[in-house]
Amino acid sequence: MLLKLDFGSDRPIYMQIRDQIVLAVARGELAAGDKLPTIRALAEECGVNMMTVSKAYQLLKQEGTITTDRRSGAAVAARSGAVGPTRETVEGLRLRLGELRLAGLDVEQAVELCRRLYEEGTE
Amino acid sequence: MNALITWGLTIWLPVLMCGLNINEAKFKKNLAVGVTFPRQAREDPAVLGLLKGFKREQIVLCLALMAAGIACAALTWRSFGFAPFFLWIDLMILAQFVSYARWNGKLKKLKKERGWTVPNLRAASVTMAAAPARRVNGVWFAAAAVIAAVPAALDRGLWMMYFLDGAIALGCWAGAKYLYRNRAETVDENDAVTAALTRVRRRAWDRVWLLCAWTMAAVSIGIWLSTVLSPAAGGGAILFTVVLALGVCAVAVALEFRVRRVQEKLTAGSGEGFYVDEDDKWLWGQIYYDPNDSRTIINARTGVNSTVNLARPGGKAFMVFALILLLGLPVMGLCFDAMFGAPQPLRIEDGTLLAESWGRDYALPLEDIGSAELIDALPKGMVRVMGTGADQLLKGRFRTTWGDATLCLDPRSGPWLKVEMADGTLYILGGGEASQTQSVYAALRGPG
Repeated sequence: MLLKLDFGSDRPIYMQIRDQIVLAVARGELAAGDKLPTIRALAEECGVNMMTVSKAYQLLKQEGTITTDRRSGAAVAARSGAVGPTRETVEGLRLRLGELRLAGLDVEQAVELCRRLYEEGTE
Repeated sequence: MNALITWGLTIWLPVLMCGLNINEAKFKKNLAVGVTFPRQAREDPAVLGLLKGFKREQIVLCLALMAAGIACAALTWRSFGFAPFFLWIDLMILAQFVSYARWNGKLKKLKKERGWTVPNLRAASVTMAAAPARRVNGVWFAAAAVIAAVPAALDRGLWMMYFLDGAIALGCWAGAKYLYRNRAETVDENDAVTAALTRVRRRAWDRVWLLCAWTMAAVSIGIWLSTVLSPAAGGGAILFTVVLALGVCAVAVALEFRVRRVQEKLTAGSGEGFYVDEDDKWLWGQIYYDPNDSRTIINARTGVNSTVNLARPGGKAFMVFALILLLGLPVMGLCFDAMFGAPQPLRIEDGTLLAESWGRDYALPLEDIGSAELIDALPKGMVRVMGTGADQLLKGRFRTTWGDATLCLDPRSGPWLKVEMADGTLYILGGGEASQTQSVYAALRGPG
């Protein structure tokens, strides 16, 4: 899996790392149980501070995407059935749907776009 | 002899630099002369034309630098001159830097015109970072260090040199470990290619340092064998060191070209879809500058080498040091020429025999001199323990077939004075005109 970090973007680097790991898990590029690099290794690889990676991992852990263990490091979490979206996810989706409405899409078009993107993420 | 060895070992450097630069014009990791191109550029006539021009200029540069080197060597043949040598080294480095930067700029301009610039993203391979990095075991370096230092126990006279060799071997371990940026060689989204490129580079990097460590072990053993087991064969140590240095250079260069060939082969199909483009972080295609990168040590884009990030304090310090060294080389050469110039003529002053050379005087009180002899030939197989061994100056402690001696003389022109002090200390001195040495000898003998 390849992380593509944009240092010119307004989105913080730790959020870019978090977003791309979430997408990689959703696409199946990272499966449950797959080991993630140590904070030091990923910081070295990305050329960023260890705190940045640590922050991304903490967020992923809070969201239930990964698990961390002192001895075995970080790994993709196993998900048993539907756990439902977090409040942040719902709020984020609400904002995006609002943007789609302002862009002139009706509900069918918005649903179709969501369906396409969802299927892209799970293929 | 020094001129022959030094120029003989370095005169071919322009050929090596030319070879490396010409190789830079071959597409590898989507790069040519430090510029990232998409795959389609490899058949673009304008790109190919510029690359051809670059290669032609490298050949012209190589011939011109070799001619300048030969001219310098011819002018300083009899007594090696540091100043022209260092000036030539400076010229070689700067000329190739400027030439590379010039063609890199032309290619970047063309890339911009063609619209081949891609978004500035830093790619990081999570897969590679998660995989355990297999590196060479430190035991191999430790073994080389021990072997390099072992002769110190057998030959106490040169213990410092053997220990230094051992320390350098250990330094090679530190170099292998800490001067390498443990980052994947990501070119595009192909994980298999990234893994292969990273593996090849890591292995080559470790091998180069291991080779250096074992070279130090070989130097120690070789010098011990040539000086202790056969003290008369002083030239053997020099020959051995020269052959070894050439051999090591040949292996290191072969390894560099091998890695480049592998990089070329593995990325032959890259450059379509997403590919890594970090051109904006490389000034003139040669100096890395990225304030967003928190690391100081950076892997060079092609081959095995490492470099520094100029945006980091450590990188700045390194570059300033390198620049001072580069600009100061000719000045340093002038100082060395003064330091290692022929010694002053011998003279007697205030009841003391004086042998003078830059930075150090040997003053021997006449009443302490046991015997003095005028010699026309120096002892065979002299080995320098500590001091200077230039064409026009032998100065310091030497091991000779007459025993350990302190020298301060110009080996090119005799006769010399062999002075034995009352306590048994041996001096071999000489400098200036033969008549001057003879008159000092006559004065030492006295009217009787």
